[in-house]
Amino acid sequence: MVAGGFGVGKTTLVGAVSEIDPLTTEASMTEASVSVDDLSATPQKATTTVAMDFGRISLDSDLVLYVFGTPGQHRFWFMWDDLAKGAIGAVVLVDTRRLADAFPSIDFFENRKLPYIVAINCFDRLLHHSIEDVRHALTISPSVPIMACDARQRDSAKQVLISVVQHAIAHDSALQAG
Amino acid sequence: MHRSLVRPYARTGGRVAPATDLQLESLVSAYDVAGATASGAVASTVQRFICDLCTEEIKSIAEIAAYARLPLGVVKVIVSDLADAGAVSIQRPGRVTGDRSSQAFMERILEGLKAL
Repeated sequence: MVAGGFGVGKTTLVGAVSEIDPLTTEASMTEASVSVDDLSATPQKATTTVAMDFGRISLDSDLVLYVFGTPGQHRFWFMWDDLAKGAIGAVVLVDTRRLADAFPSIDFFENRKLPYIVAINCFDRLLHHSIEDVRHALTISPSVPIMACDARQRDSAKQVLISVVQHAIAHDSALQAG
Repeated sequence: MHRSLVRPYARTGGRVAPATDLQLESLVSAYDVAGATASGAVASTVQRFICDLCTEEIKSIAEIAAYARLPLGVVKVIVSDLADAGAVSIQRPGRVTGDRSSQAFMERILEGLKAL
């Protein structure tokens, strides 16, 4: 899962590693949240749809990795839950000019106990704040990896995914060890 | 497929819940589209489109929804019907955390990514 604030580069990162142009899929509110949002009282109400972009990486003849950009608006949490169920891990993409945009995503992954890393998207290849400053500002635990990346570059985006998987493996081993 | 004027859930006869629980990343493959068509398991244009799509290469529910330009919920119902009729088979990504096989699985993903 690739999460983060609006315009932080989620779709760019998905596109940089995907073997296909990122696809968009839609779900309507009624599909997942009929029990939560009682639409029966307002049958004329148009269903809300949520779109998300995703890419595909074939790792082997029988192994396909999908990279999903999460829908930005946080009223679409139902879609996040669906995504998190099958996810290996997540990356929270951060723009240091708008750090606060990352909080809802971080809270979500902390609550779901889904392993995540933070990637600072350096649009101009410059890291304006030290990694430790960002860690402090986001109040995240030292066990959560933070790295700088350029979401436009395939190699950089690939490194981000590698870090997510490495962190997820470490997370699993820690769980196993109790 | 092009966007259609047909309301999405008209394609499922108004049903919103698939008989089988499918995830976004559940993988769908079709083998014998001609046979499934002959037996009547594949009747509509959308069903045929999905079967053809999943014959070329295994596809996730999310991909099918994107290519067919249909909402995920609609695709889940149609694919579930196709699976019941024997026209497609579904692989569920049964990931369990912590056991030995899942560790090996994660290592495969890691190696695959590094090799890209």
